[in-house]
Amino acid sequence: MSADRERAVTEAFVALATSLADGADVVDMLSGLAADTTRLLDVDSTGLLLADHRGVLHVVAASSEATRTLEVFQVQRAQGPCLDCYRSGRPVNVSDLSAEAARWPQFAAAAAEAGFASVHALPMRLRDQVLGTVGLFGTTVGALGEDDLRLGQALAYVAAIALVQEKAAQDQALITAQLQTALDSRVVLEQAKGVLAQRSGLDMEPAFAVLRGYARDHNLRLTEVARAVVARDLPAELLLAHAAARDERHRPSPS
Amino acid sequence: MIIGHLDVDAAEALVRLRAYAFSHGLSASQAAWAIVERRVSLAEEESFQVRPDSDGRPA
Repeated sequence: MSADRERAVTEAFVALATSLADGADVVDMLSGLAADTTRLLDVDSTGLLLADHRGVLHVVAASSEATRTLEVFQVQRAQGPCLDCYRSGRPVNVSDLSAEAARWPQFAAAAAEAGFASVHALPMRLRDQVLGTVGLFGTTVGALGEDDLRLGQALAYVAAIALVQEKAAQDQALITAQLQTALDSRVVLEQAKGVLAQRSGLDMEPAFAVLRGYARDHNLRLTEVARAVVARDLPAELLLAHAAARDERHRPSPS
Repeated sequence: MIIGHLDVDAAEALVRLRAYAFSHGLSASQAAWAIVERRVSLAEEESFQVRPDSDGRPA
């Protein structure tokens, strides 16, 4: 492992541990994890799927907020490597998706249309319970290396711990409630992205960045900001003005 | 996006989405994609939906 990569891996775990200790917003934290995973591993996109109490998978966070990409992750509620991984509790490695069109016709078509050629699905496990999966998507054919898979799996386990706080880990009803809270937060986030996208003409990805930027700069939880936007207690125009002012400040020295 | 456009709450937005989908012979999911991709705007549909002689048949 190069020194740069080692530092980046350390930073990813430190970021997770810090947000856990601070009681950070779970969807915000998992979005950060998806971005870190994509940067650290040899993949192009990461989607975190979480099961509801009926065992149906839902997108809870992703490295891309583009609707078409989220749809590729979400279609796996019906079929796909992440669903198989969730049901078996074991990794599902697909180095060439085009060879699996018969196995997952609907998923393979959606993934191909979005430009994906390979998928590695890793279980998010808490003791003997699988909470969901981490889907690692590549735009080229090929298997991930052993080191990448191990690192991905370690991040997936930490994500599971982040989702279920320790005190709740023995109590199935509390686990279910905490997972449902994460899923509900995701729904509100999608609605808030839509409000901002509609008011501004922005795509979903920059609309998400506006929400997250506002939350961070005001030291608010992402979910609370999203909820206020959807309730129209917090005008979309205010967030957009804040983002514009932020861009202005950062223009002279882009980071 | 319907919430942002029509200034309604999420439950009302879902009702509007379903109404639009039904009146156009679409699934709710198809209607949602059309809105997200800005191929249709529900605000423009308002006058159509409240028109007195509207019989609710698919357009």
